[in-house]
Amino acid sequence: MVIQPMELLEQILFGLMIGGIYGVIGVGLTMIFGVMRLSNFAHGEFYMLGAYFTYTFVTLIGGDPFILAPLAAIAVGAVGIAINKLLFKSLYEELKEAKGAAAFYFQDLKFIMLTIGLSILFVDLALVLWGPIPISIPSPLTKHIIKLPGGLSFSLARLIAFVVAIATLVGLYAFLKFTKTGRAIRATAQNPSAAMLVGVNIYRIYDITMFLSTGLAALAGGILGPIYNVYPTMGLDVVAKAFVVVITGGMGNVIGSILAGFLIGLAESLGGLFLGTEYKQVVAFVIMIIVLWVRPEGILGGGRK
Amino acid sequence: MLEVKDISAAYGKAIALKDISLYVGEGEIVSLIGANGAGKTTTLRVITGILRPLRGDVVFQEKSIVGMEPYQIASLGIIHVPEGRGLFPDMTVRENLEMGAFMRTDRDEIERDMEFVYSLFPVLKEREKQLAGTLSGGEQQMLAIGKGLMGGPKLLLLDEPSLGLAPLLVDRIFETINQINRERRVTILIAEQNAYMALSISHRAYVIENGVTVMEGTGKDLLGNEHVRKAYLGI
Ligand SMILES: Nc1ncnc2c1ncn2[C@@H]1O[C@H](COP(=O)(O)OP(=O)(O)OP(=O)(O)O)[C@@H](O)[C@H]1O
Ligand SMILES: [Mg+2]
Repeated sequence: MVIQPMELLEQILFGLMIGGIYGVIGVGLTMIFGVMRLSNFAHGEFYMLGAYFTYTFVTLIGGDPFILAPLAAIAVGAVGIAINKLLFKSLYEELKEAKGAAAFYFQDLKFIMLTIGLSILFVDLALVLWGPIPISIPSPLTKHIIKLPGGLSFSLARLIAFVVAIATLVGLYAFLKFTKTGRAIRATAQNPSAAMLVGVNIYRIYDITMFLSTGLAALAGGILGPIYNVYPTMGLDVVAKAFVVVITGGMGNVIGSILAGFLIGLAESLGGLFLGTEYKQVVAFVIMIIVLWVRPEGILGGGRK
Repeated sequence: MLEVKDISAAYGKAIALKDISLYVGEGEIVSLIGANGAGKTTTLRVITGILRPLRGDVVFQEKSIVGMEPYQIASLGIIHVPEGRGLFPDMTVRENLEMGAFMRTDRDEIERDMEFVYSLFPVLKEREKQLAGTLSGGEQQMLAIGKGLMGGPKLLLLDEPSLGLAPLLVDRIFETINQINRERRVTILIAEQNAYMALSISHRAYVIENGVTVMEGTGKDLLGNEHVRKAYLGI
């Protein structure tokens, strides 16, 4: 098999684009783990809901999905807050009552079971509301093909998806790094009881974290909706990949997840090119195994004692 | 200023405090001494709302604070420097101090308090940009106290400020606690196993055994007390 340089370049570009999306999904999952110590097995369903909300907005209001995806993300983020307030809080209080003062109640198996239950519930809900048949969100931008010299071409939709992903990641980083709320989120992740004692309302921090995490997943779903198919179990297909990204990057580490997202996106693209597309799905797991072999704590994990 | 009335508390089913009572007057240094597992830390946790008591009341400045969330209690001016120091390991020394002042908005005052903390512990200034998790044990303890001061406390709760420190540093820390009390007029409640040091700087103290206060007195009285000398001072 001879690989043309243009083909290689094209796959690198695709890899970076999909890597940015993996980064957005992975960052949401890693934040919830880092701040709340919750392994959220329903994360993929927020991605799915983001795609369907975008679809619904497009059919109801009309307009381009790339403009409506952020609105869908905010709506799904509100669902995330509602879940935290209505479901998580009471279980949290119950565990707090039973266990005393330790701060990591979200690690409890009951919470993990709860997120698995939510995942099933949302998939069924999507089946009822939107039906089992895959749809695609119409956007004129997918038909707008950008041609570069040398025969390289990709749709404007992919370029926009990439730009939105990068802007989101940069924005999130700046928020966590430079705002007072962002600092309180980091403090809660590092030492929740100490954060409470300096006056941080950690229930509010959990609300914000749920909003950001579910909203990020939804945004990814919304901007990929016009490019790929949308169907009720699409979240189940992506959640394993999201966990691979999070574990490879270092559990709870935002920058690590971003790097791992790009690494895995690129590796998949190139793996598909060199090994054949049938191996594409395996590549992510191979990368994870290699990274964990060299650094058991992930790319940037284990920085703190 | 602070009154703990007949508090009982438990971790799950394990009872840790049985009807404990104590009070701290404005401007005082009061210490709680007792052996491992006596309930000193638990008492402080109940005061700052980290642990809900089963029964009893905690009154601060004539107001019951039982059932309030820790962040609400902190905003009343009760600042808790917890066991394990309560630092944010991946933040710098300066960021930790700024987090200490999280609730405050008085920029100039915060800056002045920062200077005060740096004057108490010059080494913190030198290590301003170092991550808290990489400080030595003694430096971490200084940062923990400094971070507590940044909260602008009316009442400062210190849990084992001498834990794991070399004798010379223990002296320094207690001297500094004394200085904070005198110069800043901060009321202080200390939980300590180092009974000698704690009693030497305290106006009053309580001895806790198995979740109850068994003795109360001035620092001087307790230093001379037969039971205290035998059980806690090893004399
Ligand atoms: N998080 C916890 N979960 C369960 N039990 C706890 C917890 N923290 C403390 N206890 C128990 O409560 C009792 C009182 O403990 P506490 O930490 O208040 O003692 P202490 O006087 O501070 O001791 P030390 O001097 O060793 O710090 C002990 O029997 C201890 O085992
Ligand atoms: Mg203790």
